[in-house]
Amino acid sequence: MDGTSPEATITRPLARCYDAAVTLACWGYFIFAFVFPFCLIYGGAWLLPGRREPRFQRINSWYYRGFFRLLAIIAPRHRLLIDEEVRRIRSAVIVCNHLSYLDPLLMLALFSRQKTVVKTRFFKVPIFGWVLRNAGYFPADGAGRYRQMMIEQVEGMEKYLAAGGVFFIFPEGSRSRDGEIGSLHRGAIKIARLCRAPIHVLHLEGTDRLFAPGKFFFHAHMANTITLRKVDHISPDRCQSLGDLEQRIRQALATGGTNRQPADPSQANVLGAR
Amino acid sequence: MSRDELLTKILAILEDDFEFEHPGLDDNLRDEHGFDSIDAIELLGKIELMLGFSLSRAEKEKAMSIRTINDILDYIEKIQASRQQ
Repeated sequence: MDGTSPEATITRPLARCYDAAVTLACWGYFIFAFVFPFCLIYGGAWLLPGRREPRFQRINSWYYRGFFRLLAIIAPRHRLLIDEEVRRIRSAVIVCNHLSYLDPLLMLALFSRQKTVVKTRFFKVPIFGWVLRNAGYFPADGAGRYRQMMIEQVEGMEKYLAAGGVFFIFPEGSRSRDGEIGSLHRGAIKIARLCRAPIHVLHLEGTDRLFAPGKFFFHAHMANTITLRKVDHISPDRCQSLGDLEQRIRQALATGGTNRQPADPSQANVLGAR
Repeated sequence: MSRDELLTKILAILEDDFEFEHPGLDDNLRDEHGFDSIDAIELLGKIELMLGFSLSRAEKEKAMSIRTINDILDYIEKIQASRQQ
């Protein structure tokens, strides 16, 4: 006897099948929703005269909102609680802890005008790289052929933020496997100082329970609440040293995980539609 | 501007704005002081103010490969020389 109850013996394979089906549906969404209608929408946005960046950012947001709406339908045991305060953020740099590949998708879905830093190798991927370039995202490494892009993006950032855009970044760089806050890159702080923009520190929880690092399948069968809350707001102040700002962000991210408020179920929402 | 004058101004910028502590002229700025692409672009803005003219795209791209303070001084001297021709 391995100590497994007969009930678990039956339900575990069912749960795995359900997880596999949800995973398949999610990948199906990414592929088929891109082929139709999003490929046409991106194509239209590219052909229209005027600035492409805001259009591509908005379309990216729609694309990932669609993904989270689908998840809400096919994985209803996962609830999404997002502070109203977070949804109202504009003209700011956002820093957030990083738990899962879903984190950047959630940010993209949440903000219509968004920029972020993307691994440079993704810019070389056909179609995906084209979308990233047209949306005005940053390559993580401004070397070689990406120098020009990096210069243009950094120089245009102040104007972009002033116009209501947000620049979000996960300063740990990679996903935390144990929930602890890793060492922080200072890029976001430097951008905020350079552009005299406020920094909003957000704390995210629960995305790793839905899609864990190193796993292929979504854990759709389990009950979970994904929360995104604002835990600190730092006004632009050139006098604060980089080290002090980094320390403050680290502390906010660390205590954000320990001083959490109980989630209010009445606030449960799928992005954009309460 | 002489190289010594440039050095004084660049050191002041690096210490005041980028919070460097006693940087050596041949220190690798990226490895030893965490100077990245964003810093390089911010520094270019300050160099433009210092020189009193705007840098071209090509000149800015060249600056992205700067690694040491001596590189910065060489870079500015070359820019100054090209503008004087």
